[in-house]
Amino acid sequence: MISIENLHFTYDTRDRFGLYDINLEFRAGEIVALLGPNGSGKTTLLKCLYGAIKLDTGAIYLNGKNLLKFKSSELARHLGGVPQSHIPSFPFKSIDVVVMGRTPHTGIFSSPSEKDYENAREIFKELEIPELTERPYTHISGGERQLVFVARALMQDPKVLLLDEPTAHLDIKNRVKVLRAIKRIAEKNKITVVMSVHDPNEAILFSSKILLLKDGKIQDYGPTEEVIRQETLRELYDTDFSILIEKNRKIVVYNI
Amino acid sequence: MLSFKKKYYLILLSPLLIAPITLFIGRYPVSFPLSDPERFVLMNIRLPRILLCMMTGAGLSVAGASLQSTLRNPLASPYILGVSQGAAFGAALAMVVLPYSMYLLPISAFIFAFLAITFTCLIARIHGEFSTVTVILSGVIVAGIFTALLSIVKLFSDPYRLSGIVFWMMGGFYRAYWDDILIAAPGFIVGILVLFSIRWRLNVLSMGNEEAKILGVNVKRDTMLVIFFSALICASVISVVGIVAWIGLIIPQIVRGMLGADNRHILPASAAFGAGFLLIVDTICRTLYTFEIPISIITTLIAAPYFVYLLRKIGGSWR
Repeated sequence: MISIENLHFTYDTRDRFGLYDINLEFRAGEIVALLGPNGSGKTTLLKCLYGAIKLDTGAIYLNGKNLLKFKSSELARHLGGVPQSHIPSFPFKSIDVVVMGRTPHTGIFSSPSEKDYENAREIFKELEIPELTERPYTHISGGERQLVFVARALMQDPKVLLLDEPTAHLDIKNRVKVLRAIKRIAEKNKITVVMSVHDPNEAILFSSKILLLKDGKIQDYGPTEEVIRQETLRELYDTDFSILIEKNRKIVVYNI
Repeated sequence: MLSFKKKYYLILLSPLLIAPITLFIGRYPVSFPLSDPERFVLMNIRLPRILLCMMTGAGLSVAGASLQSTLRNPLASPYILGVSQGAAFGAALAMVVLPYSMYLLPISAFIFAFLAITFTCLIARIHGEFSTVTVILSGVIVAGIFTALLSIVKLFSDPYRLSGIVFWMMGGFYRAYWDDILIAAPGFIVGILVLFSIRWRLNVLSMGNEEAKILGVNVKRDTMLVIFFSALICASVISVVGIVAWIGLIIPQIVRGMLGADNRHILPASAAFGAGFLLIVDTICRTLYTFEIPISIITTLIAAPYFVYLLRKIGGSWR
């Protein structure tokens, strides 16, 4: 699905957040969690994937075709995304924001159809947030807004979903809501999901594979069960961890 | 409380209700049946003036609304990008240096208005990208440069022409003939058509560069498109009528307050509201006193208190 070859990238002004020697493959239908401390390059990697930044060297291929060869609208029909931060603009209704997900399917001179609006309402229901439909997205909580952006990414009808900390500002109820919905929709439509998270437990619950990033380099990449180990996590976060097992599921606990 | 649809259509119709009334208001009384001088006044003085006035109100409001969305800045306006200052310099240059001609002044104003926006875009483009902040800052720089150049022209002009420059910069429709409409119309029509046809795309652009990119927008191209055609409209009308302050800033704000954020409604409603509003202001300007009051004086005196109200009401957060 997506393969990354010899990716190398550094920002002009900062030496942090760069990426070095990244070689990876994401297969169709995989749910991949990105784990790593702040500044390890999770966001940068996602930005590279949706083509927002130009690589220094190396290349990313989507179904064997170099990302640079895609037109922006064509790329957005394959890759849907939710960026980490959003500065609210004008008070659009949430449903109008979600329908913006149809942009890559809509020409510059046209606007979304009534059918697009119907589909958007379906997605609101699927994410269990129908009450947000008509509310201005500038006047809902940060967590609710995150859900609206996930809905917008799903409206893109993508093959790959790139999510940058989609659960960052959510309470546990909403976390579960988002993760459950994404997982269900991803499995139903065979969507590949690449998502950065901060909580290893979330990664365990959600993902089939985990990618560990540290200082812009891959520390480990493999099936969730294999990657989550006491030593690897300790090395990744420079923090003391214990791993408990409850009902056949690993639970990660950190100690102060 | 009116429903959204009723409000929307009422705004769209308002200029059509206002225009016929203002046609019969003025210092020269007109009554049916029309005599020859009365017909002349209506057809060759008031009608072109009303049309030009509506074009200006609609054009500046649509350009303002489009720029505000694209630059994600509710304070963006022709002023911010240096268009007005460029036009003012061009007009002054025509008045003082160039030989007198009815056409030379608007043409010169148009050229320099466009030159100003080109400079703004060139300066703002850093590493091939436009950011809101760089566009606004380079607008400030370019406006500053043209204001300084304008001062030089003023310095070397005689008092008679100097008063002409000052009067032009306060804006007005006192010399609105059919010829002026012909000068302003092409840029106005093309600009309005383009911006209207991409008005849903403006919504997507207002989400910010990165998100618009994720949504598959060619951000650089589309931003350029909006800036170019907004500037085209502004330069077209300003070059004929002089500087009309605050309209491009205030009208989209008022309309958004009534109809929400969706540019599919905001652009047509801004055009209609701007046209109707400026028509009323112009009627006040030409009837209030024995001589005509420059229009920017009245628009500013009306808009500034509204802005104060807006500032108090929403506490400086324009969103």
